[in-house]
Amino acid sequence: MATEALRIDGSQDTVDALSAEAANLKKKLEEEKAKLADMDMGEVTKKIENMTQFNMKARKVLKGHHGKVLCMDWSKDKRHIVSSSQDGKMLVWDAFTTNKEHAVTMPTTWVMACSYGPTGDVVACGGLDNKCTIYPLCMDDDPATKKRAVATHTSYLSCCTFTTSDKQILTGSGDSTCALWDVESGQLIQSFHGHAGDVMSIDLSPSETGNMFVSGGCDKVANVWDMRTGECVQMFEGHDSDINSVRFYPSGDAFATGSDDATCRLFDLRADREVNCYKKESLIFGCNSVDFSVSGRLLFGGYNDYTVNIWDVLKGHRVSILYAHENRVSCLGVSPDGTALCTGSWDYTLKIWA
Amino acid sequence: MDSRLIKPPKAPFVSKMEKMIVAMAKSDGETGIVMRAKRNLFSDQIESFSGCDIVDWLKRQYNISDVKEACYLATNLCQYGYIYPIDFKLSSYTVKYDRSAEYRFQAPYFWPFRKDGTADSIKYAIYLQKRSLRNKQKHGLEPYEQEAFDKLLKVFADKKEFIEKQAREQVSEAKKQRRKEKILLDLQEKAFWRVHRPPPGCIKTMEEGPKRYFQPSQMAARRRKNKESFKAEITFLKKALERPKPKLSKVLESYLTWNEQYQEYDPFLDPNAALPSNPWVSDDTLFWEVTDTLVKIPTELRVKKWAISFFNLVKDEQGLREFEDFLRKEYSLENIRFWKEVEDMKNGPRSAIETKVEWICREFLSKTSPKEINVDSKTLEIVNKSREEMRGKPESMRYILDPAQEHIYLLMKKDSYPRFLRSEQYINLKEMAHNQPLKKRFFAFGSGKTQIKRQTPSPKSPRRSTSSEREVNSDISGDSPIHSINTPMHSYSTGNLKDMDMKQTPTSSSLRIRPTYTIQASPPTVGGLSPGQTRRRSDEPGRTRSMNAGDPRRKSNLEVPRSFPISAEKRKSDATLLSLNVPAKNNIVAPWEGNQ
Repeated sequence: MATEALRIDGSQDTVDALSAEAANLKKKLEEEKAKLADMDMGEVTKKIENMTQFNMKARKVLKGHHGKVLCMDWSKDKRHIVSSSQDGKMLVWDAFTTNKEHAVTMPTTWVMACSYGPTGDVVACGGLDNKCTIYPLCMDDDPATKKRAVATHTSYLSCCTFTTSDKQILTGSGDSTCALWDVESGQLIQSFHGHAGDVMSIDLSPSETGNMFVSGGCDKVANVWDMRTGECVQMFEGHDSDINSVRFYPSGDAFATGSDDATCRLFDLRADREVNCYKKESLIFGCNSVDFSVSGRLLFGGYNDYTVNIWDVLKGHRVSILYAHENRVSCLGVSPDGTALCTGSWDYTLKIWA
Repeated sequence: MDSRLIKPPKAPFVSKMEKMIVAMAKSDGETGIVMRAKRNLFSDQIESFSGCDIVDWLKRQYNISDVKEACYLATNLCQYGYIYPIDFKLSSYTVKYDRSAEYRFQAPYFWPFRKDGTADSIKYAIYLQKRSLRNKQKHGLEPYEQEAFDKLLKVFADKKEFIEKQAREQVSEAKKQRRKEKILLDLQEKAFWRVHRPPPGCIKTMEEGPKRYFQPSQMAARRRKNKESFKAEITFLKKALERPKPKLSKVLESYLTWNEQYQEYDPFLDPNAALPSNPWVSDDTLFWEVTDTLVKIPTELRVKKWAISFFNLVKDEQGLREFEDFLRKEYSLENIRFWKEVEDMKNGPRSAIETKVEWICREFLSKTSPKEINVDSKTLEIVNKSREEMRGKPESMRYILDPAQEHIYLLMKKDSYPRFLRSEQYINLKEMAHNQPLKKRFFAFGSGKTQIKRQTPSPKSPRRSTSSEREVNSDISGDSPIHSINTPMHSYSTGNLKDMDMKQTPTSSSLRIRPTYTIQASPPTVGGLSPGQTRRRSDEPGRTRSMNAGDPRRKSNLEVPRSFPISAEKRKSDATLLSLNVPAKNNIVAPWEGNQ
């Protein structure tokens, strides 16, 4: 018995030993990455031309919310939009005609998350009620009659997105976890733990070897997860403040983040590091939402100074500013075919730009 | 430790604003903004700076080239209360490049994000009381302030005396001050409350979103590491080290490649990405019709995209069907079928998993099945083993077919896919797409699906300029005797098209008139125009909207298809004439020979 006790003391299992090992491995990893960093984005993209100035104008204004617009999502049909607001309303619009096609009143305020199902027949939303509720959209009935709560968290729902079908939904919550749910049964398929703080945003990988998604949170970290195993496969630090929004680059090899530190950053999965940072000294207000144009050349960021800044992803400089709204830009999204940008704001409106 | 006692750190934008202000307010005469004493509405000389001063300073300091941007930034600083206009009526909270507008820096005591309860309702009540005790002309309350005051007095009914006492004390204190100091303090206080209790109709800049759940101290606590977390970290780091890492230059080069390949698909970068026009810009939905999920003739760009990667081909419903047809001819249809079924199963509801997996195995993986796919024995072994292990656990079964699916995917990608790209079928698709002149087209090649899904467009599509409302003729029927020359029935891929779920006969659906124009039902020789003539839009009845000369759409709308095919060469030259090109291989059918 005495010898066993001795053995335990001398093993590698002490906290200090483990801490040292971890620190060592981390150092090794950093050294490796440093060795491979033979160029930076600025050098590589010298060859390509600067973008010509382009102008976007507000083509449609969607008025109808009686509270701050918090979230929006495009339908795959490229013209319908679902939006949710602080007053508990979720509206489905035909953005092209600006008609409101469905209106749902949620029993909660601050509906921070909403998502359009890939088939166009359902929408999901949630917020301070800690739940994600699915609403089927039919022409005749009030969607609220057939609603179903699918996901439950222990804190507010910050984001949700359907996966490739209407049958699965991925959620992110203030309780620092993400979860994948089976819509039909409402049961949990997989949960994802790892963030130290509220999860603010998630996005699914568009790549061939899919099955991955990225999440960003108040712990200033962006995590990449394997949907099948629940494992965090990559972690990206670098932001100085809360990450409010994450979006994959169209190839799926990288993703952009928007943060309260007023910067947007591009993180590459293959290089396992940040490869570009979009910032300006005069830009001091937090970025709430980011999205790429379909080719990935442009990055749109909605900021708390009521503007949308448009960045050249490759060259790193700002291409344009849109003095878009009269209050914070809380959410934005590029339409599925890349023909328009939709912005939602605390000024109660959504606008379509092209 | 009680997390409530720990003050959360200042939000980054607050520190940045304050830094900016400090730099601006430096009274060294060099780096900061120079304040000038001016005679203004107060008989004393109050020092101030103008709108121009601050905008110029910002431009210089932050290298801002656009005046508007600098004004905007200054406006934000003003909205948050770091600077304020001396005369609220003359200078606005929207800072302009204006020499006469005067501003001052707010005293740090009154800065907006101080968390010591300076802006609570009691203090506001005292402030309002104070003002109502003083000279009515100078300090009288605005209607919204009076309303607020009345409400507060009701809420704090028990503290009424306390409020009054505090207010009187402050007023008598103020009497002791010098005149200039008094004026300044009044201005500062006014500016302060303007930010924290804005008048109706003004933005409430101090509004915040919902509070976060985990406070910084809690996050720190969660991050504190113990044995378990270190072990997890070590595993994580080891995996990261094992992962093959490419050179950064190679990784970055791939962005250039991607950009080169996909730039032409981006409507924001290339106007040809959305032909004939971006619907949001032109209010014409033709682009959406030709790029619908399933169409008769996929567009050129779309067909081109399928050649960029196998993934592009299979994730596009139309591409998938084309590929299926190709594989059918090669007698390897079961490969793509298998892949598709596994995808459906993985993305489907849990309740369907077990049955579906069993079905897939029977259909595609059993030796006795006619649709058996070619998977190596090792992979099969893995799959079968998993099936046994996971029986009864549907969720675990979701991914068991992955090894086989990946194998088949790679097989198709390396073998069938390149052959598809070289095939006659694909070449023909390209050609058909190429010969579909979207730029100058007049008639829509509708697809059955579009017609069913989209109801007749709402009669009022609001325009950006509300002066003239466009009248959409919603009584335009779907069919017209005008036939397009490229009737799909005569193309090579007819067989494929018939397999697609076209709810309408090909000819009628290709005749859909875009609802934005009134077209007279006219004989097949297209409105009786001879080649070279163009119909004037103003001649068409029912058109109430006048089109400006500069309207980019005008040219294309005026063109009218000829009733006979025109050779390919002409297509490029004559901009005013529409030429519908018929691929040489197709049979040429005269429009009036109509539906068959």
